Amino acid sequence: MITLLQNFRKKIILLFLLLFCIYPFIYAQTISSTELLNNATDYDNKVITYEGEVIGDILKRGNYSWINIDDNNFTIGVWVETSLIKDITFTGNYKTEGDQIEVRGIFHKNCSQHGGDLDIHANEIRIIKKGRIRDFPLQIGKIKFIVILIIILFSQIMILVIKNFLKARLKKQ
Amino acid sequence: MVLKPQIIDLKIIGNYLGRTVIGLGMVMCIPLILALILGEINPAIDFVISLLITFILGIGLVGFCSIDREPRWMHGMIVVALSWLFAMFLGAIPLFLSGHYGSYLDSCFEAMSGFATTGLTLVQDLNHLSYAHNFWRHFIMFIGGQGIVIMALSFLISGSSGAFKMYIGEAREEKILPNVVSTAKVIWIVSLVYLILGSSILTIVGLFEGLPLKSAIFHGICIFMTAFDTGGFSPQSQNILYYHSFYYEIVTIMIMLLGAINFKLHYAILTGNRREIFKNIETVTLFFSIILIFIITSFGLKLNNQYPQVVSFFRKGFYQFISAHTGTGFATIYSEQFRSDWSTLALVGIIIAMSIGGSSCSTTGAIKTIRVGLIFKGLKQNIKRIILPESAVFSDKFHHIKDIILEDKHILSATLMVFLYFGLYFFGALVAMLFGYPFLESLFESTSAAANVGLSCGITKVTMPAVLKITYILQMWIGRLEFTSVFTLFGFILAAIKGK
Ligand SMILES: [Zn+2]
Repeated sequence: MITLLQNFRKKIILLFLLLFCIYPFIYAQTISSTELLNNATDYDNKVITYEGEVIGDILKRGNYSWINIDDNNFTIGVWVETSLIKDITFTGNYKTEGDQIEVRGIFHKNCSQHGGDLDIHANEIRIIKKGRIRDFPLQIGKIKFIVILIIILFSQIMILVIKNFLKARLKKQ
Repeated sequence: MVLKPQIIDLKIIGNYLGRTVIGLGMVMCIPLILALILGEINPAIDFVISLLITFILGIGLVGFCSIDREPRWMHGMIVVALSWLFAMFLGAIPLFLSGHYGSYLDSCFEAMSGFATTGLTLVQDLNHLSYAHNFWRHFIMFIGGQGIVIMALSFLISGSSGAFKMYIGEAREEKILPNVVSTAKVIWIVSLVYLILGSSILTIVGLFEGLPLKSAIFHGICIFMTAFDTGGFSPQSQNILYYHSFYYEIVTIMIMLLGAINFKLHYAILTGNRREIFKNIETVTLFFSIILIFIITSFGLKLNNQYPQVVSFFRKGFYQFISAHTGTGFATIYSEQFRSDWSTLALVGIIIAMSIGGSSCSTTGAIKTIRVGLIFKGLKQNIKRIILPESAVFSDKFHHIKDIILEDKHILSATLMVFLYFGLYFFGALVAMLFGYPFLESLFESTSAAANVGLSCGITKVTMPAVLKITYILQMWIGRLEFTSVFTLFGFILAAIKGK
């Protein structure tokens, strides 16, 4: 019985050792924003990899900058040395699709440096896919609809003018 | 006996409704011009379509419902209630055409949330929405805050006595100047002065915090409009967290507080009566309410020690609290964090703050501080009656621009309103619970909708049940209009069915 228990204990220790060794790689695969938000306490102060589109504007604050990364669910702020992001050319807005980047850094649930923000302090940044100017094909259907609406509006105004004219004549008689 | 409405009643209502709709069509020109300036062709097309539909409806209503009679109280109330519904259906068209909404219902939800200055949102991929559509989201908050019908009427007709009835219907019971149209103009002038000042300050802060000039101006104007009109929309999906800026948060706190103050008080202060702010029953109640409820919320936050530092306590704890109390709905945390990080007590604090709101004749929704103040005064008077000898004669006063003698009718109407609002809050909570959401979260979201706040603890999502979306739309509508005009509309419909 005792040996069995010792055996068990050994196994546990071994398992922990193994976990400890591979620990830095556990979060090597990218973690989604949903996962990060829903399990913020578990990931707090850990090194994680996060991936998404750079959106909005790059907010330069001296040697560091804020970039906001959207992975289609949530957008998370990333605090990064300005020199690391000089290769980012596109940030996402209506007219452009921002660069898709991979961020590796420390995740904070309530960052003490940034007034409690949920953020990532990046150590490495890798551009996965360049952004582009979005193209907007002209929507012919909508233009046809506009023509129909203009016809309706004018005929309506005509009817009203005729109606008022007849009314005025009726009053005169 | 209930009187069945006549054709003439429908005509009067239709005529005024038509005028409001035309007014709405006119303001749609502003995002259209913006789209053309910025070269956003498809958004411009969306606004042309919406504009044409709005004008066809408006001109049709006015043209076929021509009348030469002044509206009665009933007509005014019904016009207001219907105008807000029409504004929702029409204001939702450009949003729906943008392709950023899952359904027309979602865009209606967004439009009502905008007009009623709530701030709950169902937009998808907001970060790629065009400037024109995004401006429209913020602009409808500004229009809704001022009052849709008043906005339309103050430009389309002058000096009609009918306007006053609609002014009351939009939950603005006090006139600043004897004439309603001039009151509406004062409200517009005050708002525009603040708009220029406030957006300039926000633009400068934005530039200072690293936004390029074009964005700084756009964000400055949009954030000012939704902060001052206590709405809560923001141009980016992260809401205020997007800016990562302490100064942006400080400035928005100040604008939110300005927005929670009665317009009559703004006018008094701007015309030189500075002491009014320290004497007025509304500001005094608001002050004590903020302190008391923030103490409750703070204890709640201390329970699980979420924000141990003073700065984060202020930027996360106090910010969401002020946003809740002024009925704005700006957030510097993710909705999910309310559920995961905030204790029950802290959430209850936020719910109480949301349920009270700011001043009457401001753009905040909810019960409003004057009613809370009056009920406390009434309670005090009743206790005095018991303690003092029966022969003692006393009269209490309260100060609201001038000294007013406290009468039972004041207390009665205040109590009735509080009762109605609580009913509305619980109604929405019950519906959400029917769909399996937990009690506290249901109450949080429902209060946020009915009190026109806009903070979310995660229930408001594209995937939530359609019935719940409709429930929140109703709550936002009824809550913004303070019941009377909506009840009149229901009564009118009932009379049309049952009357003789
Ligand atoms: Zn940080």
